[in-house]
Amino acid sequence: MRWDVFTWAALALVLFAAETMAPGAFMLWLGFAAVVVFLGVLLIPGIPLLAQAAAFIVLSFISIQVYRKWFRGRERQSDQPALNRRAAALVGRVVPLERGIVQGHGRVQIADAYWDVAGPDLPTGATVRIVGAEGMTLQVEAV
Amino acid sequence: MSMGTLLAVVLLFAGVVILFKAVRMVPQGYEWTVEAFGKYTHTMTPGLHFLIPIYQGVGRKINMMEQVLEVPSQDVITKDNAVVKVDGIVFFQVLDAAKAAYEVAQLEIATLNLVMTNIRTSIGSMDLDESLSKRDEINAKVLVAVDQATHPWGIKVNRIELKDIQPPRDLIESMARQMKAEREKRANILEAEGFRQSAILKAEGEKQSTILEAEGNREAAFREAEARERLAMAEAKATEVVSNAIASGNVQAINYFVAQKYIEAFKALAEAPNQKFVMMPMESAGVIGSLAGIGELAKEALNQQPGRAVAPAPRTGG
Repeated sequence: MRWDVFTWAALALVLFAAETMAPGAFMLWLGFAAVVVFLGVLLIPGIPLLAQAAAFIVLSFISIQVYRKWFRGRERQSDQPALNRRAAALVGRVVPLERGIVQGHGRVQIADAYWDVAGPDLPTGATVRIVGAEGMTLQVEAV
Repeated sequence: MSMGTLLAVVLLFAGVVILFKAVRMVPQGYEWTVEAFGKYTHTMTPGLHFLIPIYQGVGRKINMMEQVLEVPSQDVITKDNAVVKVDGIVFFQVLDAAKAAYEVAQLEIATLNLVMTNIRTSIGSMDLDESLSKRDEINAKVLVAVDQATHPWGIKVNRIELKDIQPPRDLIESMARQMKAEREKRANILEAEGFRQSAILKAEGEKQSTILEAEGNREAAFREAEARERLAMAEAKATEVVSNAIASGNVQAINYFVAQKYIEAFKALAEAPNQKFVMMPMESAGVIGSLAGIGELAKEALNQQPGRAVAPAPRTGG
């Protein structure tokens, strides 16, 4: 029995198992690298151990890069893209001005919070639509 | 173990460590800042990221979820010098991870202190009654001030809520007493008003009943008078008829009627269950005397029997 073949196969399985325990598409790609090394040592006997380790490291980087460049563009998008981005989540809402916009700056109240808004000068109480968010300031336009 | 094997193990170990440093997975709800040789370069959003090992590293891990801070209880002096204990809660959320990471040290403590001083300022400008009743106003005032002040730190203060405004115990007691007195006053006034109302209603009822009674009496008197008038008229008519009859007949006929009435009255007297002993008025002898008149009437009638069967009493003039 060739212990290096056995070790790489075992490592690949352990990494796959780790991925199922703590999902994050990270161990999985290391696992694929281990599988490639396993196939390499299985088919071509006599690869030095140092080369095997180096191959595993390099293949891991490559597989993760492949995932980043290739698969990430194709993976399912979040159905809540504005999650944890409070300002972005407000885009599209129509609200009255709590304080009129003077020289480009005013204020609105949404839920309990007050937001600074930037947009064309408008009197207090005018309704505005939030069209964008820039840091802490919401971009608005007159409705 | 050969030199090659040792080298391979070291390489594998170092490689895996570098791999774990290079490939970072940011969980949802967090953003991690990236530093290149200690200088901030960019922020990693949730998901898998790849850092250049050694050159780049993770700086701060910022929680992007809304967080709640307890504002510890503090003594605040109101405008009218009452010392109240105030505590509250603050809800805030980091909107800009980089600013929250580097613009302020100890973000939570800084925010808390800002809230506490603003609460003091806000309540210090109100008297006790105001501060107890205008909690929403205080919340809004503190919120606006704190929100503006924390903008440079990249956080949004969404809500500040004063949980408890507690005046000193003796003040609470006197407030309770005041309230009780107020309620008692109201109860007494209501009671007095009730009495007044009931007395008025009673008097009004009596007045109404007196008026109705008087009206009844008046009506009754009217009717009685009318009845008497009618009776008098009837009597007059009867008298007229009788006198006409007497004028056109025998005067003795009247004695017949009187005697008949008298006997009827006497019969009723005799039949009365409780009156067997009858005191006769003196005049009754005279009335009985009229029986003799009846006898005369009969005699006269009998004397004229052969001539007329039923003869009207001869005219005697009257």
